[in-house]
This record gives sequence, structure tokens and C-alpha cells, in this order.
Amino acid sequence: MTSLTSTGTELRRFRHGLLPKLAIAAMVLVPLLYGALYLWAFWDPTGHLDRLPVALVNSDTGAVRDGAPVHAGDEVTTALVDSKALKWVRTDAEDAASGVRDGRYYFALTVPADFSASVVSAGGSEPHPAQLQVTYDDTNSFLATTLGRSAMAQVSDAVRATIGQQAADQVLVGLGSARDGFARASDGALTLQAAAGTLSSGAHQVASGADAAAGGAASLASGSAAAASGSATLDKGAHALADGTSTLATGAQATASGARTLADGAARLADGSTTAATSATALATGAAQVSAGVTSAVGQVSALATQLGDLSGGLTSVMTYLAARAPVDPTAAALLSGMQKDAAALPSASQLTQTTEQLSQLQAGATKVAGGAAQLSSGLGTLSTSASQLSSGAAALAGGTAQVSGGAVSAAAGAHDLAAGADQLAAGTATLATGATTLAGGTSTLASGASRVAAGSDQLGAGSATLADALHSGASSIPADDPGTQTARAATLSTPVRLASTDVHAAAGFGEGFAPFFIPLALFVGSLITWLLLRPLPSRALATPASGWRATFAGFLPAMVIGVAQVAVMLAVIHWGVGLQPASAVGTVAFTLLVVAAFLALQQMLVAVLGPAGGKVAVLALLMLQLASSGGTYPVQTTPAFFQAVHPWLPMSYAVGGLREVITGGADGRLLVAVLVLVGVLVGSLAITAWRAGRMRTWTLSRLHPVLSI
Amino acid sequence: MNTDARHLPDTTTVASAPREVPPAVRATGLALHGSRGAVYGPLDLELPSGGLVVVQGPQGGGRSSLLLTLAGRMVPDAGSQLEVLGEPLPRRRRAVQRRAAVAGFAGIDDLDGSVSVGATVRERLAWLRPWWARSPRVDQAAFGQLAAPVFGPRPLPQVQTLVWDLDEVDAMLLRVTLAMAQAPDLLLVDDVDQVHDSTRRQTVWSCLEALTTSGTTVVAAVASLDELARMQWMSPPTRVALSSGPHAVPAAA
Repeated sequence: MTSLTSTGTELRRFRHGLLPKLAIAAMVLVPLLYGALYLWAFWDPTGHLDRLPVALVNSDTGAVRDGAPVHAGDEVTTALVDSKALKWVRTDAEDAASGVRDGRYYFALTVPADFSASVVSAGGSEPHPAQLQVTYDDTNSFLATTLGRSAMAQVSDAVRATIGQQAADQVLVGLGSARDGFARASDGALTLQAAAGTLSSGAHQVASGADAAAGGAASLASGSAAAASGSATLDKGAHALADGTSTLATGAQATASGARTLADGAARLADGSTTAATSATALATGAAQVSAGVTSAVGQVSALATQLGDLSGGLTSVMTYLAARAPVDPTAAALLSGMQKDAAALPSASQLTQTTEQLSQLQAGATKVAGGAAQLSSGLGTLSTSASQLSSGAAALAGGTAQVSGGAVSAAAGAHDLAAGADQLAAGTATLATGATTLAGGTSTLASGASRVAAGSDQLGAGSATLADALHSGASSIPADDPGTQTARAATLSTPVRLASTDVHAAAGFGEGFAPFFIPLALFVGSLITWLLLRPLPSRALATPASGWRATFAGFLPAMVIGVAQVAVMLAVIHWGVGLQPASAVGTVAFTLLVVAAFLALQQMLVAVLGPAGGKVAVLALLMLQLASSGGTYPVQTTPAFFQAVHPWLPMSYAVGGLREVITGGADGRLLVAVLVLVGVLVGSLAITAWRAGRMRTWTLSRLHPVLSI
Repeated sequence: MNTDARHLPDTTTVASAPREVPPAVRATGLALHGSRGAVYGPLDLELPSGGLVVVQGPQGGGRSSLLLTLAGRMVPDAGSQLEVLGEPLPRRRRAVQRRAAVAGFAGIDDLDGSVSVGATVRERLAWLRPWWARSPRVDQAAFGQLAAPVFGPRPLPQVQTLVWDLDEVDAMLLRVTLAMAQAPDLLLVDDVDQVHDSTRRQTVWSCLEALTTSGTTVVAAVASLDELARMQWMSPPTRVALSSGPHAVPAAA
């Protein structure tokens, strides 16, 4: 053992005598009392709820479902009593009420009279939840009420699952029937769809036929109109015919009379022609005589023309001489002018020629006339013959024409009959045309109506298909359960959410969950007790020239020996006595030792710096502060802001956090942080104490003669 | 305020002159005031090296405070001029603390009665050794080596003896022995009166006087006014009389 680790006489002074030994024992056992006893008492409060007397009142009157009696209240109470979760005491309402008031029962659970009825109502027309009534009285124990509430939550869950399953089962049976109905409806819809198809095709045919009929009716209408106009024309024609035949009859009569006149005229013509033919023969003889006279006139004229030319030459020579004498002989002049006038009056040669020619032509003409008159004479003979023939023909004509006239009168009568018939025809065809137009309009309406029927039939088919599909999918949406599946489904429906919690690191119970809080708390109190009995800084050490570190260790090490003993005893009892099973035994022991070392050093520092009195007050204040803010009971986030603010600055927070990890398991970065913080507290406290010890080698009057000493 | 020490320099100077060693203590205007008024001083001191100094004063006269001041373990009023073992105080406290040892101070080096002599000595030796050095159990021989110069002819207590079984003289001498373990140049012993019996106190004085022969300056405090006169001395010790406060009683020469 080196000089540093020697614990000196600090502990040896407790060796002799009973009281010092008891003091040591007290120092070692205080954390045990504080930690282990507390842990033991609170180890498993919820594990003994079966000792908690609770009144159970069953007022259920039962109900009937499907003809079978239902006693849900009996089922529930039997299940509760069998569960033994609490100490159920079957009793009546009166006893339960008085028992809760006077504390014989911590609380009372009542199954109301209509419980079964409410349960059955799930399958009925007015479903309403069944209720359980719980009566608490915090006077009996607030925590008992709290525990009771959590117990009742479990009871409620269990009852809900059982009763709910029955209710859901009923609903599921109905659903099965609905599924069958849906399937049948689906089949019917399919049939409907097929029928709609047939209807649709028929309607389409009707529509197309109606279209054709409409076309035909239109043609009929236009044809009828044409017929009507034709009939009108016919009517007019018939009337004209009647008129015409009347006129014909009249004309024929006139013709007949004319033909008779003609016949008379022709007879007279034949007579006249015979006379003419006789006259013409005389004419032809005279004409031939004319022609011979003309021929002799022509020879005379031609000799005259030649003599006239010779006269004209002698005149000219006389006039030339007279012209040459005229200037000298006035008589000659006067004779001359006269002679000129006579010359001019003489016919010229050309005129004579022309006259000759005309006489020639006259000769030719007379010849012709002579020929023509001969011909005329023969022709008149012919005419006479012909006229005789004409006369007889005209007589025949008159007789025929008279016959025509009689026929024409008959025709006129027939034409009148025809006109009357044509009138009737025109009227009939007009009626026909009107009817055909009406027919055309009606068939058009029929055609459009038939088209709409066809379209509607198509929609009916599509709708039926949709209906069939929807019914099919609806039927398949409804589960087809066999009885086993239906039971399972009812169970699932009645308890749709089941909490399957996974504990990453589970504390075995209430006590184990609190151990990380009680252990540091006990160790802090243990350190406080230790420093009440041991001297944080032995004054004899301060009297020597030893360094502050040596004086600090002279005070710390004996206390640490006590601390190790405290940890050993407390952890041993908690483990073997109370039953704590830490996840890491080595980690728990090592961390707990670190905790006690840090606490001892921290308190030593406080006493060294603040003095024995001030230090102890500070340690107590720190204890209270850490108790509230370490988050060992309720999470620190649930505490007021002040505790949340100081939480990270106090070592016990880290002691609690670190112990949680070594006891419950799942060491992570937080454990490392806890260790680092506690080591920091330990080393820092020792350093401050050492510095303070160096200063304390120089005494002050107040230390030498303390005004106040604890 | 009675400061007889002022009239004694002649004696001390004469006593120490042959050795030609600087005085163990030289003080001018040394005083201490606390919240309750003056504790001691002002004093002018010049204490010889290697001798025995008896500080005499009444209860509450500031003897312990003066001795602690001289040991470098208490700081006097500002303005006090003090030099101990050639070191100016309070500036060089650390050096003086190493060379000056204290014994007999109530509340400072009290012994634990239920601890054996050997354990008590072992503890003190451990503190004085380097921290890595081993600290073996102190047997009778080791104890004898350490205690013999203090106890002198007086038989040594057994190391296993518990402190509360020691008589007043042995307990006092054990505290001196512990102080001497650091081989001080200056030993300050408070309250020699804790050895109530005057005959036994004579033994203590003899032992203290014997320590000075090895060169250690011993300053011891006593309340009894006539201690110097009643005790037998090999050579008359230097006397410093203290009195302060409203109850100051002049020391009888």
C-alpha cells in the first residue's frame, strides 16, 4: 500500500468500542435501508391486486336473442371472479355502496339490469353499447383508485372482446345472407342484360323498317300529289273535249250544208266550163290572127328605121353648111336654129331599134297567146269534165258530213260524261294526296321513335351489364365465411386493434423500474451520513506540509472504503434479497461504485469549500433538488420547467440514467455520457477539494474558533 | 498592552551570538485582528535560533494564533513585518510550513484516542513520504528511532497502545514526536498546560529543552504566569508575554 492509498487512522478510530462500530454499520447500512427497503416495499404493488377487496354487483336481468335466453351479466361476473385479478366480492348494490363508503371495498363494479339487453341490442334495430358502472372513492386510497382504474381498463377490454364478438357474429350472419342475395341479383341482372340485347336488336330493326316506311310514305305522298294534279288536268281536258265535240257536231252540220252547196256550185262550174271551153277555141283563133298582124308591123317598122337614118345624115350636112353661112347670112342662122330643133325632134336610131325589139316581143307574145289560148281551150274542156266529177263528189260529201255531224253529237254527250268522271277522279286523288302526306309524317315520327327505342334499349343493355358487374363485385366484397372464419372475423371485429407491444428493454416490474432511482438516492444519503462521521479533510493532515491532494485523499479514501461497503451490501441485498436481476452485473457494480465515488467527492468538496455547517446544508439542499429533478419517478418532461432546466446540471440525473441502462439493459451513448459526467464530477470535485486543502493549511480565526459548529 | 519581549533582546542576542545564526523569528509590528477585535500584538520580536521560547499569556490571549502565525499557518494583519527562518511571511508560507512543525494545537493535531500509537505514527509518516512510497507498518523499533529523541530517558509507549491509554505526558510527547517527524527547524508547541500536573509538565519542558540541543528552535506556549519561575531549566528560555483584550492581566516577572 502506497502512502497515497493509505487510509490512515480515519477508520481505525471506529475499531474500538461498540458505538463506533455501530456508527460504521450505520454508515454502511443506511443506503441499504434507504434503497433496498424502499425497493422491497414497492417491488410489485400491482402483482398483489388480488388482495384488493372490490365489490361486484350483478343486477343483470337477462335478455332473449333468437329465442334463446342471454345472461351476459352472469358471464361477465363469472369471468371476473375466475380471473382473480382483484379480490372480487359478489354482493348486492346496497352492501357495495356502504362498503365503498366505509372502506370495506376499495371500489365497486356494477353490472346494470339492462346489460344483457344492451348486449343483444347489437343485432337488433336499436343497437347501443352495454355499460359497466364503477364507483370509486379516493378516500379509501388514491393509489388504489388509480390501480383500480388500470385494472378496470383491462376488465373492460376483456368484456368488450367477449361481448363484442357475439354482437359481431350476429352481424356477420346477416352479411352472409346479403351475399347470397347479391349473387342472385347479379344473375337476374345478367338475364336482364341478355333480354335488353334482344330488345335492342328488335328495336333497331323496327327503327330501320320505320325509316324505309317513312321513305315509301313520302314517295306515295309526292306520287299522290302528282296524281292529284294529273286528275285536275284530265278534268280540264275532259271538259275541253266535251266542248270540242259539241263544236264538232255544230261544225259537222255546217260542213254538211256547205257540202251540199258545193255540190250545187260544182254542177254549175261544170256547165260554165263547157261554155268557157267553147269560147277559148274562138279565142285561140283570134290570137293566131293577132300574131300574124304583128309580124307584118315589124317588117314595116324596120324599113322606116333605115330611111330615118338617111334623113338624119342629109340634115346634118345642111346644118353644117348653114352653120358656116350663119355668121354672114342672118337668114341662114335663123334657118339653122330652126333646123336644129327639128333634128332633135326626130326619133333617134336607138329609139327605133327599141321599138323594133318591142314589136318583136309583141309578135312572140302574140304567138304565145295564141298557143296559150289553145291550151286554155283544152284545159277548159278538162275542167268541165272535172267539175262534173266534183259535183258528184260534193254530193257524196254532203251525205257523209251529215253522218259525221250525227256522230259528233253523240261524242259530245260522251265527252260530258267523261268530264264528270274526271271531276270525281280529281277529288279522289286530292284526298289520296292529303292522306299520303299524313302517312309520311306519321311514319317519320314512327322512325324517330323507333330509333329512340333502339338507343334506349342499348342503354338498358349497358345499364344491366353495369348492374350485373356491380352486384357481382358487391357479392364478392362480402366475405364468404365458413363458420370458423366467421368466428375469427367476429373476434377481429370486436377487438380490431390488439396492442402487441415490444419491450426493447423491459424492467421486470415496478421495483426494477424504480431501482435506478432509489440506488443513487440511497447512495447520496449514504454519502451524507458518511461525511457526518468522517472528516472530509483531516486537520492533522492539514497540519503537515503534505500537498492538498494528499490531504484530499486522506479524507476521501476512508470514505470511499465505506462507500464500497455500502454498494456491496446494498447491491447484494437488492439482488439476492429483493430479487433485482440487472442486465449487466459487472456494469451495475462498477457504475454504482462510480456513483458513490462521485457523490462522496462532490459532498467532500462542498464541505471543504463551504465549511462543515454550510457544506452540510448545501448537501441537503442538493439532495432535495436532485430528488425532484432527476427524473427517477415521473419523466422529467412532466415536471415544471425549473426542474427540467436544472435536470442536466445535477449528477444524480446521470446516475439514474446510467443505472437504468446497466440494470434494464441496452447500454448506449447515454451510458457513456453518464460515466463521463460522473467521472468529471469525481475528478473535478477532488481537484477543487485539493485546491481548497492547500489553502486550508493556513488557518483562519473562524476555523480555529468556529462561531457555529455542526 | 504589555510587550515585555521588547526588553529581552539583550538576553537573546547574547544567547545566540556565538552561533552567528540569524534569528529564527524577527517581527516588527506583528499583530492580528479578528472580527471580535484584537487577537494579539502589535509585537516586535527577535527570537534566537536553536533555543527554547516560552510564550506566556492568558486564555484567549492569542497564543495559538501567534504560534500558528509563526508557523506560517495563519496570516497576520497587513502591515506586520515578519520573517521566520529567514523567510518573509506571509508571502513564503509554503516554505515555512515545510520547515516549521506544530504540536499540541487543539482542533488541529488532536489525536484520536481509539487509534494505536503505531497507526497514528504510520499515518503521519505516510503523509510526509512521497505518494508512491510504501508506508509500512510502524513497529516498536521504528517508533523508537523516531520517538527516542523526544521522549529522552522516558520509557516509550508500545506502538499497539491506544492513544486514550497514554497519560498526558506521553500523549503530549507523541504529538511532539509526530511534529518532529518532518524534521522541522522550528517547532511550535501550543498549550503545554494540557499536561495539568506541574511535575509532569516539568518532564515535557525538559524534553522540549532537549530538542533545542539538536538545533531546532522550540516555541512553546503556556498559560501559567509563573511557569518560568516554577520550572527548572538547563538554560533560561526566552520569554514572550502576551496579554490582550479587556481582561489583560500583567504578567508577573
